[in-house]
Amino acid sequence: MNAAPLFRPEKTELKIGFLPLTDCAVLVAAQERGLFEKYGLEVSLEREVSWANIRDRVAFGSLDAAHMLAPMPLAATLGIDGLGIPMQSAFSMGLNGSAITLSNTLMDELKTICSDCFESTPLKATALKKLIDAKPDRKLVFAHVFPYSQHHYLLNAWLEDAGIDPVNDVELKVIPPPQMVAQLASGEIDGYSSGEPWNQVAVQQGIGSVAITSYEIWNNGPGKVLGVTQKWAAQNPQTHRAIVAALLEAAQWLDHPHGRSQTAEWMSREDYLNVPLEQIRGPLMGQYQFSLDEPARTLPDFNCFYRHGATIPWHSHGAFFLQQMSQGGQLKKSVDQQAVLDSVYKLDVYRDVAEKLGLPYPLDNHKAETVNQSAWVLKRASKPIAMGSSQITLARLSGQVSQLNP
Amino acid sequence: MFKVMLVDGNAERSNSLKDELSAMDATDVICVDSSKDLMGQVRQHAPDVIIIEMASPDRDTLESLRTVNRETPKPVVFFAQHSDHETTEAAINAGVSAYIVDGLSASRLSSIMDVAIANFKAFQKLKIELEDTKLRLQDRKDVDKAKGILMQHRNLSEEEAYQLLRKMAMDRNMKIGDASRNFVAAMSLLGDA
Repeated sequence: MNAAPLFRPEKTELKIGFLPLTDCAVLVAAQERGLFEKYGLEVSLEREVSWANIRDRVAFGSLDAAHMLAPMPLAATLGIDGLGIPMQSAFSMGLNGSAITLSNTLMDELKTICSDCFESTPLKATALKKLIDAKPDRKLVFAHVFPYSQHHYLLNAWLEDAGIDPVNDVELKVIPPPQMVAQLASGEIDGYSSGEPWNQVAVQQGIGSVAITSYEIWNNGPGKVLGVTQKWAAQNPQTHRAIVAALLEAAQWLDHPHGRSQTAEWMSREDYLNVPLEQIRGPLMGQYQFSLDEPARTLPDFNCFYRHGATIPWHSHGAFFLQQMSQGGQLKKSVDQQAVLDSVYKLDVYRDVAEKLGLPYPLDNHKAETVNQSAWVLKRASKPIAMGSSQITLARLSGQVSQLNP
Repeated sequence: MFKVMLVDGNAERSNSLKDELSAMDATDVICVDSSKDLMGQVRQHAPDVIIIEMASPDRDTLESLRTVNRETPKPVVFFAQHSDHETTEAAINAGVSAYIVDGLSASRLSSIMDVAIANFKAFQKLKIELEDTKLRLQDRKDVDKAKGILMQHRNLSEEEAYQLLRKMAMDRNMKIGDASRNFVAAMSLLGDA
């Protein structure tokens, strides 16, 4: 006899959108392992070409849910991105996962201008600052993936930490990730902040080198989320929970090396990322190539899918994005922060699903960042949760984030 | 003069839309290649409206024009902010999107969007029809092959073989093309096709 199903989805045939990036892994793993079916869902994964399409197709219901940049549901709800159709997230699709790559030409110049700057890691933008000061007429151009992205905020933070003004001292532009490598090769841009596989592609082709990964800027900071509209979530509460349940199982499986290895193979397929396996595998398996002339460095937490509470939609992540949006001029009005976070970051949904699956969940909505310099245990939880460090290596960013701690 | 910039990888569609838009009053239309330096092209042409296919990844680049005001004298916004819900939905379904210089008159925009949506829809319909035709041709080939096997092995006339296939498809609630393909595949496993 089968037990009664945990969820009774209102809608069972679903379209879930994704962009071909390594951090869509939980969606691919859930699909290929039949986890959506297990929770009564028939899902079609739809590959999209832009975050704007993802946002608009979710907003107008031609997608039920999607892989989104972590700040997107918040920006949509605040009315500063797209049409302002309110969205929410009950599931974080992963921590970390991006990096800043510079062209090898620029890297060589930086090593000439300041070889001392390369003596220690993580690499600061100090050498870049020296170059800009030495050649004030030359405008360096950096790209990121979307105005409302962790990639954008971390690039700004890395530049600002060395005293570079990202608005006036350099030019910032948005480029679709698949075009980054070509534009880096042709010299149209000098560097970019993007997810994988696009940093590894530049490294393997000998065009660029990774300056710093998002993990080294902020240990276990936010990356991607599952986004739905608030209206859809209200109409389909059980379907929403069933998706989160399937993704929670997929994420746990992705904590194991064999799960990651198998998912890397699936993702390289034509219907997912359509790139060679070697461009996906390294970072997922914790072997990260910074430069073609170096052996890979061990970065086991470059992608976190379940461990360290990676799936939890923390209000503190939202508070950080609100702060960045205000400071960068993206958000010009004042908002009721608590009300906005309550409507966008659905920890209540997460707890409900985790409880049914017998998984631990946090009792508080906020998590203090920058406090733990190494692994720790979250005790204010249904069962203790093993967490990763929350260190931020850039002094200025660390100060900003500390202000948000409860 | 009023400038429309078309960013569309489908040259045929782009040309036909250009003809229709150019026929409108005081409208200048430029078609650009979507692959290279879109920002440079926007700066150079300074269009009032940018019409872009949703299959182009460049939408994310255009999204940044509203925050990076240094790039353009006036912010460029997503057309839907000046349009009704139905038009936006129709545009998304037809696979077309647009960005406009903030402050453009709503009536002007709506006539342009109507033309663009109709054009994209027509191409979508053509594409579906083409795929349909291809599928029907393939169906006919597979049905013929299945009929041939039945005629040979069961000693049936062509009409009898066809009726048998039709019944087989109906019993399984399948299309006759799919049933024939399954049948041919099964027979080839037995080494009989």
